Amino acid sequence: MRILEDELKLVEQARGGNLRAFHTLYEAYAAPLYAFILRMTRSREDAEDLLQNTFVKAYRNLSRFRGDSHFSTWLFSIAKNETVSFLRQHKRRNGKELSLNDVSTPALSLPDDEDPEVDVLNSETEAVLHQAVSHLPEKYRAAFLLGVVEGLPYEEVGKILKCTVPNVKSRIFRARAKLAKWLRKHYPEFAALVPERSKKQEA
Amino acid sequence: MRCRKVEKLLPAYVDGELSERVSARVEQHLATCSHCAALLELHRGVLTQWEGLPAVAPERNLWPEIVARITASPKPRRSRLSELWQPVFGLPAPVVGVALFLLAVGLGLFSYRFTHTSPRQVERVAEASQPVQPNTSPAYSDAPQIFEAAATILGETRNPTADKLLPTKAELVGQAVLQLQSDPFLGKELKPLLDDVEIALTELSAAGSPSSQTTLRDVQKLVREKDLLVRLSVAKAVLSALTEANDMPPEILAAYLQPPK
Repeated sequence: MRILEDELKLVEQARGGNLRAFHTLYEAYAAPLYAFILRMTRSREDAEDLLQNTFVKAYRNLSRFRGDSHFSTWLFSIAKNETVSFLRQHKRRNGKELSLNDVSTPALSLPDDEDPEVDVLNSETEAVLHQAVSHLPEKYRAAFLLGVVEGLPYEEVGKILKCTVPNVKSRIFRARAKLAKWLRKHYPEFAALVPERSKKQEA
Repeated sequence: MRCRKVEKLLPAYVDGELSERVSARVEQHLATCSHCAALLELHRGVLTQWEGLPAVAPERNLWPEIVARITASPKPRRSRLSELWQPVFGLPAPVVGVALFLLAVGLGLFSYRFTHTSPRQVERVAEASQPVQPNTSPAYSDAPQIFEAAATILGETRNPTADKLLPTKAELVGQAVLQLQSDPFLGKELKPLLDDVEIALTELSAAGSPSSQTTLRDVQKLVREKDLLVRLSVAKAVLSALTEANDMPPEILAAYLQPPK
């Protein structure tokens, strides 16, 4: 995720009611926020609603952004709170988390010169990964998605999840261990998909 | 080293965070245990497989709905303290307040000495208090024509569900309104009105909703009834949007620019 260089200036303009400035912030951060929420909730419709809630809440509370973290970190905090609260409400109401049937992440169409088999592979890989992540407990899932999938620095993840950096690390390690175990049990063939270059990294 | 211990160490091993000694012991175990070696590959996969996945993005443009919701409460809330310290004439409000108080006291003392006013002075005061003429910037010299064109366009969309391009047009108009909000020519008092237009147009972009007809009438009312600058702003927004719309053939756009007979 690319951090906007002039985000503080844009935030200040948005505080004054400049929607154009807020739109620039939306353009920059909507996609990674959406990806995070979608992978947390596994429902496109809910992810869109929660993304909207995140930006509306952010705009109404711009005065509370103190600038001691990136604006995107602050947005992720709101998104995380909205999502966790939604998941808990859903669980209370239905006695279970969202159904895996809601997952729909169709692979993007590839340019003609690319191998269509890669497309299929990506779709399968994606479905397996999402399914594996969905079995993680909520706090491990959030830490893993933010720290590994979105690639945010652990300090920023700590601010979002309101915990220390060692705690972030510990959650991510546990998430990774759980994911690997889940994959071994349900998709042992997943190991065959790992590219050679990453196998050689520690060699 | 046993499997259970190696399993716990694998994330740190993959990240290269183990000491050389412990790392060597893990490798020793991995060389002889296919179970843990397979788990290591899965650990790597958990980290690396995300990289090749296609980017995820919302399937529809959520911005118009966000704008509609945030413009329902136009400005972001400010804390009371920050509101108090909002700059007035470039200075914090309390400083300006004190300065104005001192000025008022000074003027009071000064006027005490001049209780009589000459007829010429009365005339000058009367001249100065004449209402300020509206800003007639040259950029708006073609205003009546533009306004009529905009009114025609909005009039044409009386039945939103019949116009398939309406969501696109309305969205473009909404964007143009957003641009206008940062137009220094517009006074602060006009911005709330533009917000109203924006909400109305955003709602229009969801054409076919039960509120479309009412919303459209509100927009038309706004275009026709408010003061010149608002009407011009709306007209300008509508026209900029239409100019940008690729689906609007130039001859039709030209027809719109003709004043209605």
